[in-house]
Amino acid sequence: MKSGKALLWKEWREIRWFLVAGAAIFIGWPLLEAVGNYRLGRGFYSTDMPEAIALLLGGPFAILVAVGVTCRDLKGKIACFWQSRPVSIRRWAVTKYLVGLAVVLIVLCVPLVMKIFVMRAEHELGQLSGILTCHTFTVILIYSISFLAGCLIRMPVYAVIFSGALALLVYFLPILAPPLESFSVFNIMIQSPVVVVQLSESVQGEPWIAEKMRVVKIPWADDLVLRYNIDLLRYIAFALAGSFAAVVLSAVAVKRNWRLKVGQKLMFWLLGGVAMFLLLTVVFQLRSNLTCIRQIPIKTASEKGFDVAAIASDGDKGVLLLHCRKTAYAEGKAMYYSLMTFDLSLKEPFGEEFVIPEDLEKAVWQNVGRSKLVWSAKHPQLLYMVRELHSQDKTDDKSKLNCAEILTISLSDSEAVVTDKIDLLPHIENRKGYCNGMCIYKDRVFVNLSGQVFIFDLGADGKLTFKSVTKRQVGVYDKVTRRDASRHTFATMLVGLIPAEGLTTEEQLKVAVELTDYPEIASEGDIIIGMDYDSPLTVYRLKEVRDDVATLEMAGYHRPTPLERFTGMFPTPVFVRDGLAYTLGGFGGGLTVYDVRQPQYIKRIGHYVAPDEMFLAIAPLPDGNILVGGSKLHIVRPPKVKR
Amino acid sequence: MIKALFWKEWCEHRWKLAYGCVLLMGFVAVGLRSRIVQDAVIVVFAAVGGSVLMPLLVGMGLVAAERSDGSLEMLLALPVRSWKIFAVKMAMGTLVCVGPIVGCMVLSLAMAAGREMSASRIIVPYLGGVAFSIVMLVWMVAFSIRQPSEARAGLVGIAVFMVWFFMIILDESAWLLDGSSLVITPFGIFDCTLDRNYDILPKVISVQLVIGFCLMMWAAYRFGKLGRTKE
Repeated sequence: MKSGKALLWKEWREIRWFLVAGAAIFIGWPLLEAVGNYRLGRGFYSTDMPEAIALLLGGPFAILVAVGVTCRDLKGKIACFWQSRPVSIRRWAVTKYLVGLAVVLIVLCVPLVMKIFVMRAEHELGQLSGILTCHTFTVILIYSISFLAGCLIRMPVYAVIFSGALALLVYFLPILAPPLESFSVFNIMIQSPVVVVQLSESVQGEPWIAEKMRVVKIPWADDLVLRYNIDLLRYIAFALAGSFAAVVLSAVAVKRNWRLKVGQKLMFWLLGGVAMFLLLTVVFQLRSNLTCIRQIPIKTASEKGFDVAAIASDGDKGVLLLHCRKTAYAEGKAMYYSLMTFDLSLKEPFGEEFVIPEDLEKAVWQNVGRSKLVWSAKHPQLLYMVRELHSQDKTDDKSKLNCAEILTISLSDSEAVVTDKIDLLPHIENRKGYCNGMCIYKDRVFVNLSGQVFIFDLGADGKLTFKSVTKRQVGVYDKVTRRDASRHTFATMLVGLIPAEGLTTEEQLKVAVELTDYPEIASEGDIIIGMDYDSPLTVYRLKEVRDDVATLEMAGYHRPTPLERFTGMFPTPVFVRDGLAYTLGGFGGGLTVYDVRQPQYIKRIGHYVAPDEMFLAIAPLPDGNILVGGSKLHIVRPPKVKR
Repeated sequence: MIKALFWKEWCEHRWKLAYGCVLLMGFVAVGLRSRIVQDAVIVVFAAVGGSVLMPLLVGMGLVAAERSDGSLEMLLALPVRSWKIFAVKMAMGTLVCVGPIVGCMVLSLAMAAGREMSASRIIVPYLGGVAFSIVMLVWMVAFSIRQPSEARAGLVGIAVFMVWFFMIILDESAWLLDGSSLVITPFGIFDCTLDRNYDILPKVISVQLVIGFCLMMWAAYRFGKLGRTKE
């Protein structure tokens, strides 16, 4: 038998138990789940088990195999025995490396390939191809590093621990350190690294992903292309180069008898140190760093526990719209609301609670979104809102407006009572639309309803007087995004302004933004902060105004860090003050603050989250602090920035 | 002599106690201070993570290290009954396993009691972690007592854990529908303390006590036999 064949045979005899154990775990578990499902009458299928096992256990399995194949033959007298054999070190090392790698790849890839053939579901294929094309190379890299560690350390436990620490860095450091994001396996996998798509869909998605996508035409299908991420090629090149270097170093280490003298303590502290370093990196990026000056529990007449759904404020006074989810679930109702006044200058900030009668609840529910409840400190006992009722039109099966009126609600008794209403229906030509927004500015109330803008004067007694109605498109109504040959993104936003007297262009822009349907938009001066599909936070700057239409151009966007993308919750802008954009719905449902003074370099500078709290409402306070509403009112100090 | 044995074990394992305390208590301190997740998540992670990692770390070095170093013969040659030596080892191992978890409990109470969780809600998962770590140490030492190296002892510990896990999966896959895996494996402890399934608590305690006692007797018997001391 030639030495090569003999080496192969020996390696196979020694490693086959790893193959059996690996097959039992990586193939056996999904099969077990499938059989269980079959026995319970749910069909013979496995859910995400093969992917989950490949992602969770692929790295550890590679480490065990690599350390197993190296340490067995390199400890004590066995190493001397091998040095006495007429076998070149290079051949010995390469045979060991390749046989071990083959076992790892068989165990890792076979269940995934099997699932691809069994499932054939399109949405599953993207995920599986991501794991196969990207994670497989991570496992190869980890296997190679562990192989080198085994050759250098030659003690299985320490080699496993050392390799485990390095594997943690390979997996998680690139997702935690933004400059390394191109080398993050998770980052590349969630961007669908390789997928066959229609030609028209070849360039889509967020700008920072779109600029990395490349397409290759498929010769036998005219309308299909293979879209791949350029980062995937870089990552594969990096993993293969790293693996090659590790193998060469391993051969040199064995030939020259290099050894790392390590102790148990050093190894465990290394592993613990790496784990703590990664934890601290996560915490540094996601921690809550804004100070809560005051938390005020909301005391209502009922003991059911209310959350703040909306805040209509003017200075440090205002009205809270409260809702009780528990009651809603228990009684099968959609929601359950009440109103409560507050004055934060007082020691006991909460005023009276006003129960909303059932006939008003639906109208209130429609006005939960921002800018649809209006309140003024000049008339603290009055609240204004739109009531609109729709029905299905039998002719075209579309929603038809049956009722549209401005309600003035008195908050003087214990129940919210409608004291005045103005019917808007006679003024509405197209009854297919909805109310997009309502706001108060300089003693005028503006309502954007069904493609028309209504303007009311607010009298000294708080009574609304109809002033004018204009049929025009107000607010953000168009966004054009294009990419040039180098895949840079350019975007333009068109905003319809209100030709109201006494308002400057910037004030008109502010009112127009308030009347825009999306809650994900805010403005200050000549800039608008928007949230759209392409970017969670985009800054547009006013370019020109022509025929009461403002044209704004994209000045920059926030490129979320890999960790922000991975945690998945994109914040929505609520308001901008002094160049700081305040957003809700970031990580943990919290308040996140971005510095947008330099739109090209938007920075995340503050975050506030209170556990068990999902903030739904936010308002600026005159002293510079921020009022945030959850199950309590939180007064949060804004971050300090250099002016 | 027993005091001397305790001192020897203490000198050998005190760094593991320090390691466990720094790692687990550091995790709890950072997690509870930064509040990036709910306090309950930090508490459960510390209790479950500590109760799995510490027995593995301690169990690897308790007996197998003596065998691989060749010092077990010397130890057994001392004028002390072998079961007493084994008992001292187990006592020290238990202390090292439990110490960091108790430390985490005290730290969690100091930092977060009454904030999101009441003191009792914080204590219960840690008590579960303490119980689980002791049971895991007993199982691991019992099955790895004749292993000639720390690596093999560690692998035995991982294998024991995987077998428990496999039993749970078998149970959930409708093969053993009576839920007996929760009683036979120590996962029942977490079912009681984390999911508050107190109905099975007496059963879990009695079964685990019986199993633990039998395993200890078996291990003490085998500890006195030199068996294979070399790989």
